[in-house]
Amino acid sequence: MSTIKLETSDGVKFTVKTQVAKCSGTIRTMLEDIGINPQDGEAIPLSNVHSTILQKILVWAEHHVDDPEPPRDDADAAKRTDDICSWDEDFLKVDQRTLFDVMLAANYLDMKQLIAVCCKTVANMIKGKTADQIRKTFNIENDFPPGDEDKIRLRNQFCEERR
Amino acid sequence: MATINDLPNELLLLIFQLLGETANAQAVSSVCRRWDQLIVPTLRLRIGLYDDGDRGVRGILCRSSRQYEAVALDFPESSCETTDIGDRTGLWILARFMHVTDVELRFYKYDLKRIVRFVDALGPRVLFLTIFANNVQDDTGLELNLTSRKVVPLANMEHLHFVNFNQLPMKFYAWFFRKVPKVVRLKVSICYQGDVIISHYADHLERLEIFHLDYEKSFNHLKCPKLTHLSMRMETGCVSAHPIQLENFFKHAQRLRHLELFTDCPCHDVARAVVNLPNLEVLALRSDHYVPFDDRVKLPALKKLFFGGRIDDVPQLPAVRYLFLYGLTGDRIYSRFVQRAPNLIKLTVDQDAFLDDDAIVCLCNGFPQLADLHLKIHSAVELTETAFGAIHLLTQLQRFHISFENISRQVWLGEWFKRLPAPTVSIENMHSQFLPVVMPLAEFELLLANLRTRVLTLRKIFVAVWHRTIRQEVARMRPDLQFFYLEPVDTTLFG
Repeated sequence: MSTIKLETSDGVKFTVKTQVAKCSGTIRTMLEDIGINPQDGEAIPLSNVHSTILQKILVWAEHHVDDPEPPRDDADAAKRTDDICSWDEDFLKVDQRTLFDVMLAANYLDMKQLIAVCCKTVANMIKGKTADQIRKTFNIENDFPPGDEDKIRLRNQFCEERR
Repeated sequence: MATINDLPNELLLLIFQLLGETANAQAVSSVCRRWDQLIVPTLRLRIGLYDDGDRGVRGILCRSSRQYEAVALDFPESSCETTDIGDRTGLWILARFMHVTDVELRFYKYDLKRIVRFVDALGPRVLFLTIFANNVQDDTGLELNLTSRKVVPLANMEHLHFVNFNQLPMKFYAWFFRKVPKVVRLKVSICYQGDVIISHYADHLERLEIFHLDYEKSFNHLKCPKLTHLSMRMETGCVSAHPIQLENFFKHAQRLRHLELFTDCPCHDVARAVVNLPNLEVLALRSDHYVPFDDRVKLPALKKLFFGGRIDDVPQLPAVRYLFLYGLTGDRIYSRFVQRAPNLIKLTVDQDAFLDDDAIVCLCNGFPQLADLHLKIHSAVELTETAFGAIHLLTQLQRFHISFENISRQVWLGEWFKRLPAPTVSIENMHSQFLPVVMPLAEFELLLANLRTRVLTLRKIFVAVWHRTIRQEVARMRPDLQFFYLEPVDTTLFG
């Protein structure tokens, strides 16, 4: 089985099965389109990813490497958030900083399935909460100017609806 | 070390899209400025222009910094005086939100003057326009001189949806067509004057949706050379309705890829004429009348067929991958499909009393390559082991769904599913609206004993004894299960 080397931002080198590495659209493009030859033994630099995060992402990719392509024409499934598989649920039971680091790295590496499952996890953390609760959950500062109550009145008087 | 606000906009937007309800969106918009700015474009501001809505509305909207891209204005029935106030506010809102791309105008009592005034006030960025015109008053606005009225055309408009356009004077349309010269997507709902609108835009149309046009109108003569999608829903409720004619229309719509026709009018001519569409990939046909398909009809490019209605025979479907059958088909029809659609991989059969043991055996023997099988069993049918024996032979099956009207009448459920080859299985009970049926524990254990199953969904079904602790039990017995869905348990039901 062929392998390739990846080098993270903190200089750690990983040897990874090519098939697993190809879960990343970014790496797949490098190998297939740009024609970087993995046999050369030179490590592909991933300058935006820290080794602790890459390690975690590789565990996910290893588990999902044989997953079938998701059906593309299923608009309903794309909007659901209650269909996270139990393995992923456990995998993403991490502190928020790690979760968002994983998301940023998955975004950089172009891993759509991992991004989707992370987004669902975060959406579930937001659902059903008030603005205050959301701010508390994610430690977000309320940066609206004080006395910005017009918005609340706006909401009482009119109706905003989802498009 | 990242926080949620280190995520780029595109990821935050992906998350917000998953939130669904308006209530969630409102909470998100109040979290911080960045989130507010991101979510506002996904919202539509709906304002009812009632008589008290003048000063107060303007003041609040003025102080709000929100830039909506979608605005809906409701014009209720009211007296002349309050109409004026409402109209002033409405026009002010359109001017205030310069960047709107999507406008919906709902007139509950329209007069021509107001429609003209508001269409005139639309900004050049508007791409989507929806107009509801209820409660016809045909004597208003007749004195309007629209012919010589100056017009600044809305050249960017792409998508138009007219609802209830029935008795407007022709001079309105002449003016509107100058104002909105080009439309590529048109939807007309309950418009007896729909043919006027459709014929004007025919040249440019790529998508056309017709919902309940006056069925006596024909548009067989129209030429829509760019049309790729046509969708028609015509329920007339009339026994002696005229047949729908589209042969000539199809001759001039050769790019058509997607055709939907749901009707209670006879459509035998349409069914015969679809062969003249060389690029047709999706055909959805649902009719109350007999559809005269036979094996001389060949649809070489068709990939998806949705069919509901009576047929004696089936056309040749060499490229069809997905077949959806709805309602009663007929005896022996399944064997015809087996002969004519050799490349089928996904099959859905919904509520057909002819789908019994024999039909399932015929389908499974005929389509050994099926990857996706979705069956809704009719209430009059009781399946036996014979049917499931045939389904077990589908070695390529990836997804299997079955719904029963009354699942408790079907015995040996667990035995049946124990040997199913599909990794994704879902079982649904459709009988009860409120109370799920209870599956005996022994049956469920048999279900779990099938190690090929990786994704299991039970809808409106509870599992006896385990209903509270089922997740833990399932995780213990089948740690490899990727996904398990069970209806959320309402504990009050069990006391």
